[in-house]
Amino acid sequence: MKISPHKHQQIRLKNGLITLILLCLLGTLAWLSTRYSAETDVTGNSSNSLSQASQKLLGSLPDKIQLTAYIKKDPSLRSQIAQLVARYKRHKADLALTFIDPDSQPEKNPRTEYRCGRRYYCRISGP
Amino acid sequence: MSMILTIASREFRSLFLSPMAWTILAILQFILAFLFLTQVEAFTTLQPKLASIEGAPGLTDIIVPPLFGNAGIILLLVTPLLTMRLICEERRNKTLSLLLSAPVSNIDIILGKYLGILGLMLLIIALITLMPLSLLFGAELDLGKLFANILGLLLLVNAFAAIGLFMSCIAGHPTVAAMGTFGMLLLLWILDWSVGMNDQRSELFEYLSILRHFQNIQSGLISTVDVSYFLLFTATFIALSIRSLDNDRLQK
Repeated sequence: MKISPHKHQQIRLKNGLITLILLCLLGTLAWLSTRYSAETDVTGNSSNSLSQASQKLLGSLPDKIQLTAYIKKDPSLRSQIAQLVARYKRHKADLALTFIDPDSQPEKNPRTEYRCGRRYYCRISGP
Repeated sequence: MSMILTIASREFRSLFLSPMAWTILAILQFILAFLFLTQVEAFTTLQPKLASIEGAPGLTDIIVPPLFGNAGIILLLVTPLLTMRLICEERRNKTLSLLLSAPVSNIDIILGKYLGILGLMLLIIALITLMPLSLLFGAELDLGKLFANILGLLLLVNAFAAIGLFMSCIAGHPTVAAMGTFGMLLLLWILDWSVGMNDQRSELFEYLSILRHFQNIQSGLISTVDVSYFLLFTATFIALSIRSLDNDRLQK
């Protein structure tokens, strides 16, 4: 086959398209993997799983649960809290967690937020 | 298949011809042994306190995740040095044309090079694993958690090596390849930090962050999301490397 500049350009275009399709395919697979997932806890004492009693209690709660954590922008602390909540979220899908930084958003004080409506205000303070 | 293994074993053996691989193995082992001993020391001082707490972290929780986490960070620095020569050096020495004109496909070349470097990585992981395993002489380990950590590190170095291979394919000079790999790995590693700084979390950034997936696996909860993230990550960069070599064959 004689390679003319035109032919060369065609092959380049084809190669580019194949790469693009490949990347789209991998992106789709990544998206699908987040939609349909399965987990298994391999630790010896099942430290990542909820106990039977907690699971039962969580199942008996009919309403949506909205958790708001009023803590400073500390990535390690926030990820620890997110990890703890994720353990519960696995058994109750409509459980949501949001973070509010009391320094940058002082108007969103938990006291004023929870004055009206039937909401539970639970405060967990550190040592 | 036999061609892949031939290229892989040649690559693996050539790594040990230069002092590079030996130096890296020795330094890695020394630093990690020091960190391992620090963790063991920390555990022995904490032990009396931990005994009184119910559900306290055990020996495995205190020693294994920090050891493998640190190994991940050190490998992030070391992998670019190991992978920078893979294709780049062949191109500079003009031996790439020889390889490309040999009766092997581009897939064979890339996979062979990749498996060769992965062999060294496996050796490193095996040496790291021996350290916590040595505790079995006098203590009980949570083998499930240890397995999760080994799996996490294994998937992590798979991804590191793939990205390094790709950078070596597109860069003109080994140093550029090393810098490119290091920059990209560090970016993907710290992507998670920006996530925690905002009140709104970006799901895309969270998904792309290597650290998050690695830590998820380290915790002992093996999810298909995290495993497939690493596998897809590796597949993406191997595929891109093959495509880039295809382009080379065409244009040069």
